[in-house]
Amino acid sequence: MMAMIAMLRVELRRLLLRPWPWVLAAAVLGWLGWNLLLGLGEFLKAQAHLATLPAAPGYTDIVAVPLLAQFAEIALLLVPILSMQSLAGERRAGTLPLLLAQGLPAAAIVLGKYLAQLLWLWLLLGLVLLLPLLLAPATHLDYGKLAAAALGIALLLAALLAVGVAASAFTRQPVLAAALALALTLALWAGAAQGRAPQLSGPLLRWLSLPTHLQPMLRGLVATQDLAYFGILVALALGCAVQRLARERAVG
Amino acid sequence: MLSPLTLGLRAGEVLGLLGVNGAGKSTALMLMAAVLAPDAGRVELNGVDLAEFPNRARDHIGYLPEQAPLWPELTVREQLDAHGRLRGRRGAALSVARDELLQRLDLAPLAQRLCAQLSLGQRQRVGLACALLHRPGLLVLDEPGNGLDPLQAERVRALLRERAADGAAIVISTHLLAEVETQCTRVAILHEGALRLDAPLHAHAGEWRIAVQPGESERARAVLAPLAQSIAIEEDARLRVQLRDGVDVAAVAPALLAAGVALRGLEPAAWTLAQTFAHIAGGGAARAA
Repeated sequence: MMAMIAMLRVELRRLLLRPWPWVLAAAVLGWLGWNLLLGLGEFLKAQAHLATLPAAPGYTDIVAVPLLAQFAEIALLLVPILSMQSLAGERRAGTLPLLLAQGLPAAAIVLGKYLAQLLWLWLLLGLVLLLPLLLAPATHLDYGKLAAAALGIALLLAALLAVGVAASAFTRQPVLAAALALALTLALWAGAAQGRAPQLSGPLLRWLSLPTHLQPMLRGLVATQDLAYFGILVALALGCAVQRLARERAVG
Repeated sequence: MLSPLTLGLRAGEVLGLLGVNGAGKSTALMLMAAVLAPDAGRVELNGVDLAEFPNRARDHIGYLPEQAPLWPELTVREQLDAHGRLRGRRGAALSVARDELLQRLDLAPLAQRLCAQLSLGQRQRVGLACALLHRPGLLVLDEPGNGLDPLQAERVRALLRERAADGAAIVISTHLLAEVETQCTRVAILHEGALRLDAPLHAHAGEWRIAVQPGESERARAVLAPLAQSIAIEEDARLRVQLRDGVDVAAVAPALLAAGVALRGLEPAAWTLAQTFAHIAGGGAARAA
């Protein structure tokens, strides 16, 4: 446990000192801020029409949650870029043998790196959440629905990052790790197309797809099976990364 | 790929590991440092199998790979702190050890510099400081002299001598034979993945082969008896002489000449390290293996 915390501290420190994660974060926040303004404009324009509807969607449905959904789509690209360095970068720089030489268990190395990057992603999610929350005093915000959506995005980030770290464990080229993570992520996201081609997706494929478990949370529904799905995905991906790293110590 | 090899190291011993490129030195070092686990056999530290208890490495082994790998985003001080914490060191003990090494390795002026901005020699010293930080009982160093100028190299040698005197066992892999001769108490030579030589470095120090005129071997023996611990006549006119401790070889020729024995040759009985290495690297069998 202490080894994992030490690894987490080192990784967090390195992450906070690198410029490019902050550049990415600024770009994401800038893009989402601009989209918030656009969404807000649409919402204000539709006010007259919405006033005639008996159960009209509000600010949360039209502006806040779609903004989080946009962040989810950006995360499909952002997370592989962030995670590509985690183990592949260490291996390429020659620092991985040094970590192994310190007798750190493979699980401590993987979990320390994973948690540090997850904390950074959740910090970014917190900043993204601030955007719709800034207007909370001026509008009616459905906090329950927003919390469910935020939980869904937080779990999505955890799952994407676990896949990214696992991809990074299998190569020494960060770019290759990012490409592999992106390919896996897109495969898991493919279920999003099921609405357009239901004949191509059976129940198993539907269950495996990320959107199947994210969409209910974006609608405000938190189900145990969706939480379990994300938990299983994270555990499987991190388990693969740990096994790969342990094997590296064994066979070089 | 390494052939089966047995290599033991006692506290305070400094082993020089030699071999041509691709001989298996780095693999052997990574096995000793518990970076790799062996396919077969055991790597033991104080009787404990490192494959079974890799955490032992955390406390007792310091490892410096050939190219000191450092995290470029951290400063030198942060680098040392990070390594200390990963080794389970905390608080004042970590600060004291870190500051001492910064001073000893002349890194104090660089403490706030990012590791990405360091030269090769500076990186090497930081890597060495990381390996020494937790006062390990076993130091595994791959080319520690890489990029060091003569003054820095001497600082490093002095520090390693101190650690060895404190009881640390040290393994140094290098291509510099002079570094082995000045620094090590034992030498091992690997060739094509196999251990070809493992011997005390100065086992034959003081042993000389002396050639005299035919028929004068007995007289030479009598003349040299006061200077020698042992004298063997190998063949006619050739003697193998082990000088007493403190007797300089420079005393041999005057003693023989004063007794009227003509000296025809004087050379170390043992091969030099350079000769041994060249012989093994050239595919010959080792004399001391």
